[in-house]
Amino acid sequence: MKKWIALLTMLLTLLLSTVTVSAAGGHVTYDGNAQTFIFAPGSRFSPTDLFTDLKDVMPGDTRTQHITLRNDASRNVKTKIWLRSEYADEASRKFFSQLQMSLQVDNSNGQAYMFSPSGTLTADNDGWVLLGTLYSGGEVDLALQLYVPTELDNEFMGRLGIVEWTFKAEELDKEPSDPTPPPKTGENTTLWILWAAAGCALLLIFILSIRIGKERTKK
Amino acid sequence: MRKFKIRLTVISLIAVILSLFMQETLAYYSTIGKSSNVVTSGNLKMLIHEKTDQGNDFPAEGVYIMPGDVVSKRVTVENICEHPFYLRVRVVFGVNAEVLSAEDCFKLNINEEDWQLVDGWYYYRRILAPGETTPEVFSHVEIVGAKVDNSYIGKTLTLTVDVQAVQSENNPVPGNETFRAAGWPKE
Repeated sequence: MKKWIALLTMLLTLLLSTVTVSAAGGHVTYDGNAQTFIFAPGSRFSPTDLFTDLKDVMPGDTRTQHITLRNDASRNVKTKIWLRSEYADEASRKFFSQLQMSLQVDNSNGQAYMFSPSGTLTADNDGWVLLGTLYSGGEVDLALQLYVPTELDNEFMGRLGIVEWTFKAEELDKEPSDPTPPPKTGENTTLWILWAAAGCALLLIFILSIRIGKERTKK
Repeated sequence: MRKFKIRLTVISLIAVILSLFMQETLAYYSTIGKSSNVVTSGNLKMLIHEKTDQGNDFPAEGVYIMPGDVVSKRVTVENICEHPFYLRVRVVFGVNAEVLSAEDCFKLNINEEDWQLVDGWYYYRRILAPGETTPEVFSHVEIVGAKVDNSYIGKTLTLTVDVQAVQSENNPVPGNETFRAAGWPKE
């Protein structure tokens, strides 16, 4: 009986720790098949909120918001990821002007090799910043650092600022030199059907060519 | 005729092979998605409790006093926010007559063990954590008989408790010298 209780406790702990890990940080998933972005986990302020760890900040605080960017496009493509940042309103613009924020790639993720960062993070005329290229099946962790200056005025106490991040994905052909993710196990893939069909077709062409050749020699 | 059919089959098969791989290369898509991200700043909130010896709220309409009276007024402050803070309290006296002064009309039994007087403010010597309430700033007010003479008959004397707080997070002070904390509003 005790063994069962211990086992159940362990399973429950494992389950809870898994839930905690999966809930931590923001997640941006590019679903190439559905041609959409999925944002998680959201908050009571916004269903697409990625800044779960940037709430209730105080002067002098330095906070890091981890955001995982994932490319779930199953086609054999690489995807350029662009980002444009805009304040939701004038009050938000004023609030964010008091804060210091910086975004960088966190290489601690084992899949970071699937991301080729853009050399310069400068915006084009339309405000788009190229973050980099993310390969199919790859993911990268971004670290958004927020510093709240100690001089922040009382005027900004209890404030709420909204910044809208627009992501743009542009799919491109993969090249032989591009990295590929390790093969996934237990997943259905249609790639082998394509190869099998192509193989059968090539075999048929080969057989038919021989037949044509034989007929010519007969004549 | 047969030769034509075979050629047609070969061409069709080549077309099938090409089409299988063309779908991998023709699709250049551009997708856009928007997330609304929120940053909120914290705030400091406190509640001033003014109680009588019986544990009731001190009457908002005030009490009638006579020279020499000792009125029970137990003043404490509660932290009702998510952040710890430093605290200071000032007592301001007033009277509803221009020619009279309220100074020296009241004598307070300040709890100097927990509150330190610096430049007219009583500073709480510790950090007040979320949910905590301070010890009393003072518990009784004596109406000074030598000062409150007949000229005060029918007048209203006021005693106002001003409270200010400043965050203790990212704001260390040496020892319990909370008056040295950064961010106290300028006078």
